[in-house]
Amino acid sequence: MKIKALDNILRPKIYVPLILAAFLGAIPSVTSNSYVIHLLIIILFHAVLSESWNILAGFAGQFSLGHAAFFGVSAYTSTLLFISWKTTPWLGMFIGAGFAVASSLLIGFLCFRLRGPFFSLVTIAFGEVLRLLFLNWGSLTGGPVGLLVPLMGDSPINFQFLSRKPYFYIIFIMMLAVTCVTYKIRSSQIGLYFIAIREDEDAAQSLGIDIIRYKLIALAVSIFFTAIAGTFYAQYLLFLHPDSAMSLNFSVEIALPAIVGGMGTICGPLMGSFILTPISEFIRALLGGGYAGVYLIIHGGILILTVLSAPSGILEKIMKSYEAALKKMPGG
Amino acid sequence: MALNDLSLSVATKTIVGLIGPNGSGKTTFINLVGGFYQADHGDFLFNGNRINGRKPHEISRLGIGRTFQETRVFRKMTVVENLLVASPNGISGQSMEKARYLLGFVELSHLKDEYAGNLSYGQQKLLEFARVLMRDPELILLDEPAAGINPILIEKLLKCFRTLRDERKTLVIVEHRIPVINSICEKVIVLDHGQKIAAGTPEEIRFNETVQAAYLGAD
Repeated sequence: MKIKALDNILRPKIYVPLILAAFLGAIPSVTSNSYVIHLLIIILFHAVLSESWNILAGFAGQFSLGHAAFFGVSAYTSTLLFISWKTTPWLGMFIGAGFAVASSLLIGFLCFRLRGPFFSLVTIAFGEVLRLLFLNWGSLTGGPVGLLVPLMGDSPINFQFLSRKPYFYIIFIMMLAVTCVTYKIRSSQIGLYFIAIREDEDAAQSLGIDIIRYKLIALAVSIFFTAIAGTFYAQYLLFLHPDSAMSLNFSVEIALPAIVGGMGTICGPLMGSFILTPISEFIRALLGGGYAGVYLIIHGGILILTVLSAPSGILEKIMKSYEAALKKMPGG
Repeated sequence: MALNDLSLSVATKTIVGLIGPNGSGKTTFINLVGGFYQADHGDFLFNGNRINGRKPHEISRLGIGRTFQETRVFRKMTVVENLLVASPNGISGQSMEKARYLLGFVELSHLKDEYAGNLSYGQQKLLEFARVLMRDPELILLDEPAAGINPILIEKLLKCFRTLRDERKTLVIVEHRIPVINSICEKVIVLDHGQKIAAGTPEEIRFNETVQAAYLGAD
């Protein structure tokens, strides 16, 4: 078994991503530029969200446009638990994820029996209802004023740090975790079930696959990682507002990196995030607050270009040259 | 009403052909048995057990496999993955071994790592057939397995059917190509307007006047 593991590591398909991950993980130790680290945090944050979304939409073919709502449920749950009962957000993160997964399963249970766009439509509706509810439930959520996370200084137990580096490593680990889970899913029977459901539900059923059960599993895994990223968001920004954390725009932002990078691939959402997030951050920095929506127009443009030139995502195009290069490497 | 007052039985370990003009209810019958449609009334018995109202995946797990009129392979999976997804034993050495055997059986071994969407239509039919066999069903419902494929691939398919016949599998084949039916079926059932109009050996059916009238018109 050990020899097999060593054999796997010696394959370029494994060691090249590992080297890239190690390189990425080492960046904060070689730079003290706070903006660079912040940018990497935001890129990885979007990568986690989009990779999570990809499990449900890219692999299992269930196109959710309400991920932001579940993200918000978790972010608000852990923050409210922290404010009201001083529950550490590390624990709140999992309680919030529990709420988010439970609410998503309820929706999935009702919608997955139907064919067509019902699930997408219901997730949009659910997101909007929840956003409006949180916006108007001022006594609990702070309503339109938003919710401030109490400052605790440098307090790892309370998920608060004065430096950005711990945040980087937390989101980096989350990114590795969701990527490993996606990889594991893709290479297992359950991954084949997800793809079969995405490709042809009737054919999948005719082979003994309980499609509702596996759609619900995909939904639960996807929402779990989305939800824990929600708590990270609350603890990193120390502020929550329904219009930013639970909006339809944000749900689209979650989906875009996967669509641009390549849905149903392991690295597509990561690549999409590394392309789209810096662009929007630079545009925001360049244009300032006066042109708040311009980055969405740029995203739209990139999406149109991607759909026209690489309908399966940029990754597929890049992978062809990448795989050709891998074959020339030691062990390839 | 696609099927009305239809009563038929298929003996185990036989190959039965189900024929009839377009719209006679052949595919509807397969969809009903497979759980894709629900009957308003009546019973379906499999090995003596009533299977009405069960979901398609439950029916598949009982040991009834099916193919579709238009091929329904998973285009973005490789050929071997198309077989592994159907394995009741998960991705295991045993499943891989069986997948390899079945790919050899339908003569697609050389394409095992190709995406199913890149195969020709006929090759997709063979793959879909091999995929059904991955679950080792007792009863296999084949909806126009030879439709749209060239004579060489039809010969391959017939060879597979004959092997299954020798292995004493139960097959129900919906097919328009009468030579295909004549060459492998022990019994033929003819449907027209959702009703059984004849049943017998291929030889008996060939000279049955009611069948001829259904195909060619009453005049």
